[in-house]
Amino acid sequence: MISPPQHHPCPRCGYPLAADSITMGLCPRCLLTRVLDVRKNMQMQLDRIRPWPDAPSPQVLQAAMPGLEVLELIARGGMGLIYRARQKDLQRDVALKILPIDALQDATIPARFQTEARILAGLNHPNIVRAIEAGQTPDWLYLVMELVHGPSLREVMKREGKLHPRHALTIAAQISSALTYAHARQIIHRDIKPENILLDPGDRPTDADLDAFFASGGRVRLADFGIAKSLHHPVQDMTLTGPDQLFGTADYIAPECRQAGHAPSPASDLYALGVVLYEMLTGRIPAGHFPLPSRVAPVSRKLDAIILCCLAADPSERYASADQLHHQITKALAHRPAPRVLLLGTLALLAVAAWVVTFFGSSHPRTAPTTLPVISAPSAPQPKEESPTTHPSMFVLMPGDTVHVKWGDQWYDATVVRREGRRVLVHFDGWSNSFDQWVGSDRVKW
Amino acid sequence: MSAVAADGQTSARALDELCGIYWYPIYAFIRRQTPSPDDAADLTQAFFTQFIERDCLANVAPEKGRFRSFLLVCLRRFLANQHRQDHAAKRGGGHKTLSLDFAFAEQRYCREPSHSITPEKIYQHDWAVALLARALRQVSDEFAARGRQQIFDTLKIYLGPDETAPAYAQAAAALGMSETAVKVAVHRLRDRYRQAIEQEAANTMEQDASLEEELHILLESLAAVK
Repeated sequence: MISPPQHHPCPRCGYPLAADSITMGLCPRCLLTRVLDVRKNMQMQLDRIRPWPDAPSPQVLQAAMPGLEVLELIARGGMGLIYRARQKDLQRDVALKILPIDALQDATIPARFQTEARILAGLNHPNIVRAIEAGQTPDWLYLVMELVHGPSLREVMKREGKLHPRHALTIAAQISSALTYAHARQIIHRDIKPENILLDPGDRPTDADLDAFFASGGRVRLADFGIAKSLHHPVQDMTLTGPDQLFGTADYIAPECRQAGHAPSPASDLYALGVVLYEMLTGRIPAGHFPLPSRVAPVSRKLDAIILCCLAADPSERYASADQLHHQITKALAHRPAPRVLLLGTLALLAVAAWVVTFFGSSHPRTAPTTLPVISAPSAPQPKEESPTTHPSMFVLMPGDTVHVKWGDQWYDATVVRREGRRVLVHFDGWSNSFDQWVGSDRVKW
Repeated sequence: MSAVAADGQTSARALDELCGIYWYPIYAFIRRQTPSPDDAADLTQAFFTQFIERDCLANVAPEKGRFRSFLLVCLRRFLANQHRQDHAAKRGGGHKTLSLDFAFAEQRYCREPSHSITPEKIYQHDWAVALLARALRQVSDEFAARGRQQIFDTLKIYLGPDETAPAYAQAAAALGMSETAVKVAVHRLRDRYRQAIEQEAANTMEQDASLEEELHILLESLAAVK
């Protein structure tokens, strides 16, 4: 039966699971999700070990590129082979990315490779892997880049599972900074995913944990601009990719980019970064009916709001820019919950103060909201002088914004979860309780 | 044996297997449209009887499409015919005296506010559950055949999400194994279950179709039920 008399919701996905289910008490939706995860992991392993046809030996490459000492093949990217090499004149290690021209099945790839070289050469940002030199031999196209010694975010996630929210936010903040820079130069990356996010420890050891990595100044670097698109050259790029050609990695492609003829935009990079952030926090992709991060990881509802905004199906409902997202992430990163002892002490003081005011009378009698549970510090109600406003900034309210909400004759701190027309869903975060509430936008102000 | 790969000689056995696995989605589809459970049971029986008599499996070929969809088409035709015959019998003859539009009736039924889930969605959902259960039973039987039923019973929880699974140490203590051995066993169990699901899905999908796509369709059909 579809609705068995006795059922309980699956704790992960809410599926109504019958007590006498034929799947031995296991949630069918989660069973299948797990199978898809296992398949995906298998595919990743296969991709890593599958040899590129006719991968040239370092010696062969070196003969064609006398300025380099080519040392070893270190990776196979979606757009070529990557070798570790050493620049003989500067005696520094570099990454050499090559594309064997003979092995190409797709005639557009050389042009895309050159696009990558051109785009990378124009970018200079601490969170973007730098290009050093690009060129072509009779047999290969090549690109010399900075060598990042650290692992990819994918490898780190495989090692650590879910990341600590502080680490996840730090990584997302640095990538959003890189995207802010690239988008300002009209460059869309189009393939943001953990494999293309590298953790660069600089000169320090590479096997340190993430706390040590960030404490010692480790940087996150965005790599692989192989399918990046320059909005400066739309016509040229259309001939490279075709208007209906789908680029990117399935799980990270924004919904609008799956539709034929839809031009990618900076918003699609923000969607992908939202997927990466979700994955870092929960260990899984936000596909289908996914749980909010705060349901499966010890993170605040503010982070839910940030991720939901990135993952909005309608690109116009996402953050207006990578910079805006960066601002929200850094704000969430700066937020430190007060120690419990301190909070309890503050609560006790507030309770005493409230009793004194009530007992001795007050020139401003207050009435507690009848339907709202008491909101206590650190989001303690703070009376404000201003009246509700239809301030123009109202129209740019974004999920994750901290606002003041009028309830009765009092103003309370809250976080914006979602906005629909003139209604705003806000989240109140108190000591003893947290809850969401729809309010009219005229009761919300900055 | 694959339900769709059966030839004429083995079709009876294939049908037995088919009925054993996928009778419930058929029943649920009919039941959604039939007020009486007895009538639904009779119709389910009649459907499979007709399926045998007409040797419908002989017409099944992987290149013609998904077996799931084929069965649903057969079922719809059967129900439409059954409906016409019922009315004809009541009127004492084989002449068509009323123009009954079964598709219209079905559409109308689906629009009823008390039925937020259509019979098709129920069918797709139950098919997916039956497929998952079938694969689970198969793996369980394999473990039992090797005298490892207790291991399966203890570790099957790890086929689900990590959030609901206990620590490996707990399973290790229950089974008298090391934690590392449990991790390896879980890894193998997950892989075996994946293979069983893939095999089961591949048996009933069209030739050259994407297995990945089929699995996502099954997942979507499970998501339709809240």
